Amino acid sequence: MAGHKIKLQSSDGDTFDVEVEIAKQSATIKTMLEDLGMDEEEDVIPLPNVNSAILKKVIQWATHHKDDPPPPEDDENREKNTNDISSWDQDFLKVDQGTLFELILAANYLDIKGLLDVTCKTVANMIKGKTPEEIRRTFNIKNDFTPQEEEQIKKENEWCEEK
Amino acid sequence: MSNPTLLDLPLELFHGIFEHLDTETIAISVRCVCKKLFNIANNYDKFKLSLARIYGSDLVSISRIVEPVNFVSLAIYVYSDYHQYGKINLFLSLFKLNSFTQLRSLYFYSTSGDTVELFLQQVPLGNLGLLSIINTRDGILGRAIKQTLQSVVQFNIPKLQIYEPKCLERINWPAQCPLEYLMLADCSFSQYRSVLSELSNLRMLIVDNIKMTDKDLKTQEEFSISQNAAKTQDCQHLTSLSIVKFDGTMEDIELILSLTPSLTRLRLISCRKKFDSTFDGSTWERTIGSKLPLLKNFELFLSHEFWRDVKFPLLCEIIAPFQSTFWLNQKHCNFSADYDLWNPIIRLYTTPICATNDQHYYSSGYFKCVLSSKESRYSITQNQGCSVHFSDYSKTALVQTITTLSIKEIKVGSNEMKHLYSALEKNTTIEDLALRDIKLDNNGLKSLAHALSVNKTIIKLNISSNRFGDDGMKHLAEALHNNTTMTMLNISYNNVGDDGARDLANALYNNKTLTNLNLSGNDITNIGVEHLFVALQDNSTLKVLELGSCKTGHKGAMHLACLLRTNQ
Repeated sequence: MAGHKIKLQSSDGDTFDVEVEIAKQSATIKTMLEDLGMDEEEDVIPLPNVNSAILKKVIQWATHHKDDPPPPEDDENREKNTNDISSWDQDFLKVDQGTLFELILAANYLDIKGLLDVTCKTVANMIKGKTPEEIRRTFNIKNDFTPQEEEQIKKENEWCEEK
Repeated sequence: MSNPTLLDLPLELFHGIFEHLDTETIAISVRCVCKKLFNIANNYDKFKLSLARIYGSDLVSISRIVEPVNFVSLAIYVYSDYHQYGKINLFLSLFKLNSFTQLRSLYFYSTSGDTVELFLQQVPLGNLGLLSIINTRDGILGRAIKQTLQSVVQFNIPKLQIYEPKCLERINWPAQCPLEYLMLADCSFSQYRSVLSELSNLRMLIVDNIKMTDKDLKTQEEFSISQNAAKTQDCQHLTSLSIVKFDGTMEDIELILSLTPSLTRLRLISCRKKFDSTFDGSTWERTIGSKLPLLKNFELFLSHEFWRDVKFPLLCEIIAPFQSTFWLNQKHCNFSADYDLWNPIIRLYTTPICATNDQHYYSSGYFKCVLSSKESRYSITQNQGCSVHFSDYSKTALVQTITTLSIKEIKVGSNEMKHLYSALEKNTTIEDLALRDIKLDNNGLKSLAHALSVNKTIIKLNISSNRFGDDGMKHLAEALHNNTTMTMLNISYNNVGDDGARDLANALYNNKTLTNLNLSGNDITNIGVEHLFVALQDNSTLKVLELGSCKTGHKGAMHLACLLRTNQ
């Protein structure tokens, strides 16, 4: 069945021809194809939660990773290593934050474990080693604690610094 | 949703991100950012705590912020120093071990047997999926081995890493052992055999090495003969085997694999002392074909360092046996072989590469030449993983050649470059060579010039931004004297002055092949241009001459303009 293609339709109406094997990395699409028997070439799978730009990126990622073996079982307990993002993925994810979060949402909706994992790792790496204020600045988050709450939180940390 | 931000993500995705963060980051940093993150962190219940790098003060904070039931993973580290034990004592004073009721994994690194025993006795292990004890020196665990095995049986722990040299000598596997997954350091062949026969639930085994002695070989032979049917000793339950620091022979591998016809996954990583039959695709095909009928997932990584005077085996010769239908169509295994352009190390591996965590395999050299069995093409890549240049692959599958080599902005010693130049002398495939901004010095240019005078295939040469000056130009000019193949030459930004221009002019006097010459950014004045003008007067092939940002005046430019007009 190699080379057999299906059509994916983005939220803005563009359709993309994608090899079935590549599209099936998305558990969501895989289930659709298998449960609904949507394997006729004319059928178009609508993906109302993913826009063209992001769908294009997702397909690019899935095409690059189509021959990856499934993650071996014993890896699940290995200490999660956030440094093991492949250089291709690192380059692929050099995008603005909006795109990165859209990719996470798309990976989550399409249920593509590998992409979800690597995007979450990327965000985790942006958080690591930062103080609360640095995290706020990185992600443009407003400090919405009341002065009392802030005092409370500060206290928790001050106590330990006395040591 | 257009342009979502971090806070727009649904809750489950925060958990996905938190999975990659340690407890101190979530509890002390993320939690204090804003109200939303404060609430998410407060309700998070999959914290992983590691004592490896945590500050004592952070540990105190965490003890008041995170309830012990919200930890799923605990890692106890000791680097054999006083402070680490101090940290364990601090931990014990802050937390009650019996309150960690939800632990799924528990790790000990270089932790004394007494401490391990204490934890195993007090921590509720009912939910534990993995118990890991890693020690690089033997004897640290001591009599805690007994407690470990007892806990495994009592709490039905499916996964165990008990990595301590020689500890197998003191292990008696309990009857009815629930282990499905086991990681060990070294083991002997007889120990391996008893692991297979005594752990009847074992599915996955990871070992550093399985050591074979002459005695093993002999007893195995006798055993097979006496049983007269190898089948009776087969282990039918093991499906995954990894040997990550193998140092035996191909015969040893065959013997090891003959015990486990049930394997669906095999991983073998080995640093070879000899270039032996482990590199041979047809031997592997025969071995796996006959011994492992169910194998689906094969990962191999071999490396071997040659002596400098020994001839490299050709990558295409190594890869050819791996291009059989067995590997490509039945097993879907893609192999690559590479060698380092500077160090005589050759590697053979399945892709995606399986030995990513071992620095040894990545530390040496700047450039690799890679040939893959599936794509039948060479590529040159830089160590860091970013590619320097991929070959323009001519579709004829049999021509497996590099045609383009491009190196730029890399600081390499001239000694190292020498290997490349001597390779170029013999090379008959590279047509496009770029060595930009690599600080080519006089000696380097001398070697390159020598290679160029022999080489008959390079059509495009780009050696811009090396600042080698007139002395360097002299060597290059000598090489160009008799060259009849090169059509494009880029020598821009090399501090070449009028003397250099004269030498180049002399070299080009009778040249009938060069169509593009780039001399921009050099120190050539009208005098130098004059030399070029004279040399190129009868030339009818040169179409483009670039002299931008040179010190050439109006007069020089006029000269050349007339000259080139006729060549359009």
